[in-house]
Amino acid sequence: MQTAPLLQLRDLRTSYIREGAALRAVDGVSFDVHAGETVALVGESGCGKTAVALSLLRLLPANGSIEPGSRVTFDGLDLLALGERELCDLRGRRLAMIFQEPASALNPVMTVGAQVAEAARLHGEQSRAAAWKRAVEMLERVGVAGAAARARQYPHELSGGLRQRVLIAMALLLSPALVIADEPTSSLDVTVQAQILDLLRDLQRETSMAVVFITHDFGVVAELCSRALVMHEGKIVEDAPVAELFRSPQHAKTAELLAAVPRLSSHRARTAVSG
Amino acid sequence: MSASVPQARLARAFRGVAARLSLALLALFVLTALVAPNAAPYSPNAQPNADTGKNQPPSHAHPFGTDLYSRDVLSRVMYGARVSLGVAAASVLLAVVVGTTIGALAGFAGGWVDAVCMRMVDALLSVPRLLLLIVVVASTGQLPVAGLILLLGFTSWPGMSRIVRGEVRAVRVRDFVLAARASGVPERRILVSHVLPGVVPQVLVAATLALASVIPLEAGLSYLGFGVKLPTPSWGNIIREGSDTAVENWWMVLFPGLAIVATVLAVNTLGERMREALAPRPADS
Repeated sequence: MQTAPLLQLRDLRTSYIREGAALRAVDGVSFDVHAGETVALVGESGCGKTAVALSLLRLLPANGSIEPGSRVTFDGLDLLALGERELCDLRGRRLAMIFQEPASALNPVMTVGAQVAEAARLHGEQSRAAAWKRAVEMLERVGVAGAAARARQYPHELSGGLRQRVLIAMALLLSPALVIADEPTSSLDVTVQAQILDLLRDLQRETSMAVVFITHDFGVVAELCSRALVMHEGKIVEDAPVAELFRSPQHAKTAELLAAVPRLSSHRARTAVSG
Repeated sequence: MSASVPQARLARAFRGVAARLSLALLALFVLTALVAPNAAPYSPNAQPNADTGKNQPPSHAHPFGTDLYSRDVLSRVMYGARVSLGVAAASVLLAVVVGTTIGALAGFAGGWVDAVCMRMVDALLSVPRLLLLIVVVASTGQLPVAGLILLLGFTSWPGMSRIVRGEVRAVRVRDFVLAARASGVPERRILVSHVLPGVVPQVLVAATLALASVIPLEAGLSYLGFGVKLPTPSWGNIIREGSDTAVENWWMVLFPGLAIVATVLAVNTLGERMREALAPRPADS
């Protein structure tokens, strides 16, 4: 690629302090994401995928820290040097995240419309009414039927699939350049999963945003992503285009993960493997 | 499920006979306090006949009898509701404001802020409250009503702040707080619009239970002569004036005493019901 990458990670090391001992969750991770690209970050539970995502957003919990020597550049900005105010401005507007658990990632005592509209209000929308209108439009766009009425409901009144659509609306409201999707379908049942994946693919085509898709599901990887990063014990062990990865996994861990996939969901994954 | 919304669960507390009865009783007392100037049969300090009208047992003209200055006990109990309930409500309100602020800051900020606030709370809670109150009042002399409210309020907030801190610590690590941060919500707004609303039900419960402990405390202080200044009637004051001849003139002690017991019982019932309604149970989540 000739253009500068949208996101550039170099030697990212993140550790958590637990019971006095430092635990390195991310151990020297480097990769690039270009504008409009969909990259999968694959690996087992606990391999450090989510720690990478939280490091990118600078949202690590109090016991987590990014070690010196790490470099993260986004959109020409040195993310690790930004102050809280600049980060707040960036989050939601240029850099967003779709969370894993639609049941817990929505505030139970706020209407879903208010939660979607909040980001609009924070990032420039002047009036409450305009922000609300924008939130309803976004909910419509992510396929929430009867969005105007739904916006006034509380999360517990919505199904899991609808809640996930609300989370997607929250993340995509301001057309961010990069979205990190942390297993956005893993808690949904299979038919709803397929709908949500279709939705994400459509939205990605329309907006040309870049997506980092965190998952352990190779079916999802095959369906959505052009390139996959395989993570194991805090390190990236393989970085390859998806087709290549399925054809000839270079790393033993990749082969192991691929072998562990029960294949029912993805037609393309099957052909890719046999082909 | 609606069960997961604390506000909806709290509503369940007000079902059932005991809860309804408690609510009705409290409503009656609050109403009495509000309308006392219009509804009381006599002025609370009027002494119509200090010679022959004193120490009269309950009668048609004086349903609660008269006291040793011939004042109408019913009127005094009605006016006493104003003072007793007003002092209790105002001091609990003060405790809620101070306790929530300090508890929320400690729980949300964590680290040394938390440590400093909580050691302060520990220190305050380690002194028996009544003792602390008596020492303060003994050294300042009898306080005006506002002073009494301040004193009761400032000895109520530490317990409140502990509860708020615990709740804030539980809520601040929830996913939706992280999600709000990820969409660019600044810290102060996270605390005010995402964390605190989730704490409201618990604060309500704590406030209710605090109310149940402040009412007898105020009565006790007044009874000991450290509370509201005579001749202003508070329930504790009325008991105090009647206590010397409590056996012969039982009505001077019984009626204000019943008012205190009924109020505390009703408030406690509601508080306990609310606490139970909010307690996690296996069927929820």
